[in-house]
Amino acid sequence: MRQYFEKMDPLGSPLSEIQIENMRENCAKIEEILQTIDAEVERIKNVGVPLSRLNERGEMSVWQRIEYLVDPGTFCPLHSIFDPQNEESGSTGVVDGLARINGKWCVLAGFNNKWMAGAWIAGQAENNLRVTDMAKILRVPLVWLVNCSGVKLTEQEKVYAGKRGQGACFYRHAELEIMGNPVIAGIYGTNPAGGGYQSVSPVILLAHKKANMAGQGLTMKHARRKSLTQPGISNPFHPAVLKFITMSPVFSVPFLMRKNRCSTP
Amino acid sequence: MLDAIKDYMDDLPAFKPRFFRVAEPARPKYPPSEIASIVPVDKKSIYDFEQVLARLVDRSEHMEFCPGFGPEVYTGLVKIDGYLTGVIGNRQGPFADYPEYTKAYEGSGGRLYRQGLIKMSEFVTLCSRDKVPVIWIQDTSGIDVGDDAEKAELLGLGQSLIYSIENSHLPMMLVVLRKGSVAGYYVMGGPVANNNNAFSLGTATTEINVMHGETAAAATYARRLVKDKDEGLSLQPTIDRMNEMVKHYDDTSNPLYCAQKGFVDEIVRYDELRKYLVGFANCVYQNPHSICPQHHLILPRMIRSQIVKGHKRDR
Repeated sequence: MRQYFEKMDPLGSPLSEIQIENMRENCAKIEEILQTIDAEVERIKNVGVPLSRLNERGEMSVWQRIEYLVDPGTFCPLHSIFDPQNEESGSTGVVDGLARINGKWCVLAGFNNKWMAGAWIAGQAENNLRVTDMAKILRVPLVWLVNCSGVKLTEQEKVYAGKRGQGACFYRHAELEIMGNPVIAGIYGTNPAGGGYQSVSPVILLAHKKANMAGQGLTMKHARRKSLTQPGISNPFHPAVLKFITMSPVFSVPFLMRKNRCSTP
Repeated sequence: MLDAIKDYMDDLPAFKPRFFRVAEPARPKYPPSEIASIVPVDKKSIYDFEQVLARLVDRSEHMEFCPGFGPEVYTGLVKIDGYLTGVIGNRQGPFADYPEYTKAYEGSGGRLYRQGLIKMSEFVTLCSRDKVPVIWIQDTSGIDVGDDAEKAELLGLGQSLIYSIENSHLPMMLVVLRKGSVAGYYVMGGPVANNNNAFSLGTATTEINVMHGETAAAATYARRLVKDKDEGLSLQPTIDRMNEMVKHYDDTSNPLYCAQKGFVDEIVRYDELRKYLVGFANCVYQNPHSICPQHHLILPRMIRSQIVKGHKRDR
């Protein structure tokens, strides 16, 4: 078939000096529009915990992780300024795109650990469904950089329930696995509740040495025991409330994780 | 940890690029950055679609499918990073003696007519047969309307294109280069093609809405204006409401809003578009669920055949 493809029909022609000159103002308008987009991308990257503080704690940001992981120049970011539900941060808390890792293409998605320790926030469920849809349509692996503190409890009604709620992503993982599409998760930080499912639903689970995950966070476990979830808390210094603040976290780690613990970033 | 992910990626199955490439990868002959000097921000101004495409595809080469039929739409095969890819896009500008089903008006750019809709359906179906992924490049003001258009079956042909896309089981991506309007935004591989559209890109010139703000304001308030006039009332309050509506459309159709609300998945600079095309092509050909052997491809042979090339079908 070389005769068909090696040399096809020529397309287009060089632009004339006159056209380039006539379109100078057009180019300036385009640049002006793009600057508003760039400013929003930059604003979202800087939202939450300052990068320097994150790095001082020995953590990388999701953008730093992506930069390390991906073959140089291949990351094609998507949903950079996606914010369908006007979340407080102006984002969905997920960073994703097409990427090549060690020569293989994939859909790569990571939780923005600079904002609420990678919480489930409004709009994120839709973002995650788009990510899984992409992997399904393109038939490429889905790689997650999990760092998810679970649902933002003050806005759970925008996150949790419904046919396309945050849990739909776990069914999509199962769907991808059934069709033979691998899902890989690198797990960082504290991942309670939904973060636990986010960690456990992929095919390959790789956990950072400081990572932990559980079916429910300790705060919820404790709140339930002390009936704090019932309405009408009158004493903000209730012993159970204070205990949330002072308790050191101890989370269950599924046994299957142990052999995949990683001590490097 | 990140190194461990890299190690696991090494373990995953993937065809090597040469298995599916039809030629060596090559950059476009003309720089993609020049697209800003081709596509006007002013949506009423026209441009040459082929000049845009030439700045996105390998060696600035192509094989056009059915050039003499449905002139308002480009359909053709190109190479992206050496991979065979189908492209469908809107041509701009007036078309003399077209569409063939009416003498009342001439075809205008970005609008879809009978032949264009049939050609797109045919091209998608053949791409499906040959397992060639499709890239849509939209700048559309929708499908032609009116009595003549209805008689020419345009409503149904739009849905026929949707059927062809759904039936193709092909991975597709979309670039909303400028306008994504009315049914054109849906039928030309739009994000609503949930089983085919992997992702949609916008650009600095993207505008997505059901119709342009001025058209919408006229449709909404025209009768009110007539009524005001008949009753001897001031037209100004209604005109003010119309202008408010136009501004609302501008505020909710621009690139920033489109990306924030997910009408597109990302706003991309013109000189970055090819990078996404390359990523798409590499993803699609990495581990496809079915294969058409190159020596069994039928679409390139149809294009090269004199039976199709230059043949003018019945108008």
